[in-house]
Amino acid sequence: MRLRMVETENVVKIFRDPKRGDIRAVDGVTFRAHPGKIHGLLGVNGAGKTTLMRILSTVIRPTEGTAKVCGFDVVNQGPEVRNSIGFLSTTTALYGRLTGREMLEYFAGLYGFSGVELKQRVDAAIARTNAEAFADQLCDKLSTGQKQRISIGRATIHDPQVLFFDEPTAGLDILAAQTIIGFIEQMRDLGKTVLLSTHIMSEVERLCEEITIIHHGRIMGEGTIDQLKSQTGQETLEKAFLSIVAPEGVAL
Amino acid sequence: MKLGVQQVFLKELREMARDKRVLQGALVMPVFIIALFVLLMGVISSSITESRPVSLALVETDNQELREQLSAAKEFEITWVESMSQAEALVREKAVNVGLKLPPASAPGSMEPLTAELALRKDEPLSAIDAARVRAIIDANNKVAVGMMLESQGINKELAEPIRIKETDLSVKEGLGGSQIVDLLPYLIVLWAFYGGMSIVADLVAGEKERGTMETLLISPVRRAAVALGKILALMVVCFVSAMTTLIGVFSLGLLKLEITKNLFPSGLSISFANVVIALGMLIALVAFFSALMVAVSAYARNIREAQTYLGALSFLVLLPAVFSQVIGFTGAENAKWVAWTPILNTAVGLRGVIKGEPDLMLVTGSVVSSLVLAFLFLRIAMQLFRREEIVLRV
Repeated sequence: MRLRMVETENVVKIFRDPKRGDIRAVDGVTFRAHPGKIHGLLGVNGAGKTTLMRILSTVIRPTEGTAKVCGFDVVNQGPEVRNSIGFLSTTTALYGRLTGREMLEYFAGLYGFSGVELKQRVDAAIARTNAEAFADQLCDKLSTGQKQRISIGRATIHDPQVLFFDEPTAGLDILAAQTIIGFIEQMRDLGKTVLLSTHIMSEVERLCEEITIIHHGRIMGEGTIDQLKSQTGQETLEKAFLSIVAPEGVAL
Repeated sequence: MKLGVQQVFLKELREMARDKRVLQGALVMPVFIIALFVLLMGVISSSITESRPVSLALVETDNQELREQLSAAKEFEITWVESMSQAEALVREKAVNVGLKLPPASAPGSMEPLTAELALRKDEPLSAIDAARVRAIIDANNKVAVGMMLESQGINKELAEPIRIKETDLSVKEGLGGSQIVDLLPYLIVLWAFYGGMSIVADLVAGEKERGTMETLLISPVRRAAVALGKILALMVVCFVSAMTTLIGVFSLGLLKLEITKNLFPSGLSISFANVVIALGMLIALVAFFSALMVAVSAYARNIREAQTYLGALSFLVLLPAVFSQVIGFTGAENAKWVAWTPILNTAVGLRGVIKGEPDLMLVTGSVVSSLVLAFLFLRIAMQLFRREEIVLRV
C-alpha cells in the first residue's frame, strides 16, 4: 500500500456571506497525494484550490469532512501538521524590515530550532537557494526573484515532508518562475510529497504525475495526464481540461 | 506557546526599531513636545514672576509731592497723560497695561472719601496682573492713611486692620512636587502611552494582513494566541518607552538648569524610589491595557487605512479623560470614588499624586486594577480575533 501523506475525505468549506448567503468554496473533496510525486490541483481562478490548500495547512478549518497531513488531523493536530509542511505562494510575503537571513532565523526559531542548529539550518537554506550574495540585505530591497529564493528557504527551513505550492509562479517573470519550477522538481526528487495548485497547463504537463481537476469546489476529474486525455477523448491536457470544466464551450 | 511568544516579540521589536515612524512617533515627538511645553511654560512663568514694573498711564496730578514720588518709584513705568480718556485709549491699544487717575489732594481734616479711577483690560493677562498690583499698592496706602488718622485721634493705629490673616502654605514643595510642570506631566505621559503605540499598531497586525505576511506566519507552528501575545508585548515596550520619554525629557530639561526654566523646578527634581516604583507599576498596567486594545482593533481591521480610522476615533476616548484630569481639581471630584475606578482618568490623576510625593492608595489601586482587568479583557478579545479565520484573513 502506498503511503498517503495528504488525504482528504469529503471536505466541505462553506463561507457565510451576509450579502450572497452561504458559498460552498470546497464541496465534498476527497483525494490522496503520495511521497515522491507532484500532485496537481488544476482549476480556474475561484475553483476552490486556495481554500483547499488553506484547509490542508490549517489556516482555515473545514466545515465538514476530514483531512490529514502526514497522518495528523488538520483540525485537532494543527501544530503537528504545520511542523510537517512547507507552504509557498506568490501571496506569502516577506518582512520588509528584516534581512533575508533574519527572516530565515525568525522562522527557524518558530519551528523550534535554536543555537548552533538554528544557524546551521539558516546557512544551509541560504546555500540551497544560492542566496549568499543578498541574504544580509533587507527584504524590501530585494528583487522579486531574490525574494522568491528567500521564500523557498523559509518554506523548507525545517525540512518538511510535504510541500504545498499555491500558484507559485503567478506574476513572476520567466527566470523567477524557472527557479520555482526547478525547486519543485528538486523536492520531488528528494522524495517529498508535493501538492501544486495552478491553472497553467504547461506547468502541469511538465511537473505533475497525478492531477485533480477542481471546478466550483468539486472534483470534476482525476488521474494522470494520459488518463484524463483518454477519459475525455481529447488530444491535449488543455482540451481535456476545458471539456471537463466547460463542456458547452467557452463564451466569447 | 512560550517559545512562539518570545520569537514574535523579539522579531516585532527588531522590525519596529528599524521603522522611522516608531522612532519619530514614539521617541522624537514626545521629547519635542515636552521640550516645547517646558520652554513655553518657562517663558510664561518668567514673564509673570520677574520684577517687571507696572506699565501705567497716569493722569497728571496737582499733587507735586505725589508726582515726584511716583516718578522716582522703580516699580512703575509711568506714561503721563492729560486725561482719563487718554489713559483709557492707551490701555485699549495695549500701549500700557493700566490707566490710573488719582484723586486730588484732599483738604486737611476732610472726612470725605476720595475716588481713584482705574482702567484695565480683563481679557489681557498682564493688564489684569498690573491692575491687581496697583490695587494692592492703593490698599496698602489706605491702611497707612487710616492708621495715621486713628493715631491722630489717640487710637491704636493697628486697629486700621481689625482682622489679620496668618497664611500657611501647605502645598508640596519638595522635588518635582514644587514644580509647575507636575500638573501637566501625567496628562502627557498618558497621552504618549497611547499615541506612541498608535504610530505603529496599524502596521503591526492589519499591515501584516495587507502585505500577506500574516498567512506566512499562520502556516508556521506558532499558535495564534502566541502571535497575539507577542505583538501586544512588543507594542507595550513602544508605548512604555514613549511615555517614559516624556518623563525623561522633563528630567533632562530640569538637569540642564536653563535660565528660562529655572522657575519651573524651584526645588529640584527629586522623587522617592517608592514613588518611582508605584508610578512604573501604574504605567505598565496602563500600557498593557492600551496595547491589548490597539492590537485587538488592528486585528479586526481589514487593512492599515481601516485600522487608522478606528484608532483615530478611539484616541478621543483616551484624550477625553486625560484632558479632564487637567481640570478635575476645579470640579471637586478629585477624591470621588468613581474617579478611582474610571480607567485612564484614575491613572492620570493618580500619577499626579505620585509625582507630587503624595500617592493616593485608592487611585493607585483603582488605576492598576482597572487597567489590568481591561488589558486581560482586550488580550482575550485579540486572541479570539486571531482565531477567527474570517477576521484574520480578510483584507
